Amino acid sequence: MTDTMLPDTPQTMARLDSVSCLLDWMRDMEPALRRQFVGALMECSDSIQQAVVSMMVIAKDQQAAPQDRQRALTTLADALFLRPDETDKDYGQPLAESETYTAKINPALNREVRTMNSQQEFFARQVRAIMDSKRLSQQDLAVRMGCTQPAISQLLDRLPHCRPQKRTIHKLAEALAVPPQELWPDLETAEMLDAVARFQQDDYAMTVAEAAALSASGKSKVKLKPKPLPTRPRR
Amino acid sequence: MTNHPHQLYATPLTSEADQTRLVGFNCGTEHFAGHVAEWILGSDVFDSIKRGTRVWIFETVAGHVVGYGSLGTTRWKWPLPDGQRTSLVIIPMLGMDSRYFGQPPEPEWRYANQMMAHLIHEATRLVSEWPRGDKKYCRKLVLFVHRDNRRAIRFYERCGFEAISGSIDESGHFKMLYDLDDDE
Repeated sequence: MTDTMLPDTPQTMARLDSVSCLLDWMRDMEPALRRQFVGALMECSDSIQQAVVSMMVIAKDQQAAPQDRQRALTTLADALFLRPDETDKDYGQPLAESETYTAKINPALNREVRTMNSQQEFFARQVRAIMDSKRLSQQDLAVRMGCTQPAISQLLDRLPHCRPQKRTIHKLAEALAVPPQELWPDLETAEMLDAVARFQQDDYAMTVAEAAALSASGKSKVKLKPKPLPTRPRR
Repeated sequence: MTNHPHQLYATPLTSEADQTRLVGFNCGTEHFAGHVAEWILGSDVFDSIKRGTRVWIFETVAGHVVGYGSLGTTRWKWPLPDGQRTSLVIIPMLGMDSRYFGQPPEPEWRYANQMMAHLIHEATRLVSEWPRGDKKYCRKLVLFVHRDNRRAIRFYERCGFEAISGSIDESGHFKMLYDLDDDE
């Protein structure tokens, strides 16, 4: 049992670090509070428990930014103590569910959640962060990318509002000397979005097969009956 | 009719404020699904709207977002050096939240069917304004789908779309056609 639970691997050490963090946390608590804390933790689902441990690591990290630590503490409180929206129900709430609920009642958080959801805004933040950390000016980046400084300025201004093409991601990554995934974790998504943009483009030159299919007048055997949907009544 | 609990409603998406209603929208974890949520949550949807695309959020009466759909036109060129352009109707993107796949069980109220029936209705209305017999206008509705997205391909076939063989692109997508002439 011990061998299978605690093999001598880096993963085990990471887990022990997490447990140690949890025990440190509880050491200074009053016994009643500790019991409440453990009770709440045990009632959470596995994924919530994992999130709790991760949040504790952030909350205890003195190097973490104050707002990140505050956010971690808020998430911990949400996860461990009563639901903010239904105070007589279970402990813990999946993060996505909590975000969606809170976003509904909090427009500022709503914007933040949406920002996190969109890779292009992550991309914009990453590019600026890497430029800052490497002390690269727009002029430096322009030299590395073989374009002008105004072009870089325009690109940076547009980034949060305009999705870069996959080739732009590669070019920027090369200029910033980072792997492209560091700028846009899911490159396949970028490629797919490029394909959607091409699909809509005017002047797309059809293949012979596509042209033949468009000219053919064959009728479909089965068809879905067209039917308009109503507009939802205002509440 | 609209009192049925599974009736969907179509709300036009026109601004970033509407976009916030899609927080948490997720079309699944498959490799071909990520961009479907990214398209509607990012700037691509507005790039498309600027080109004349109409976008709807499909939701239940309680306001739960089931999916979204879009409809636009494009002008493709025939494959000749001096190929003329032809206008056709396209569905640039269509997505359903994975929580609603196959829901509800009653086929006549299946959310996917309601969404597609709405798009086909709008497409039919659009081509009804086009001159008949003019070769510059092709009365067909085109969408494109990833070859690995078998669930979607089967659904489109059931709706009456037919695959264009030889239309697969480097991203793995191919095009499917629906003849709008029958519906006018």
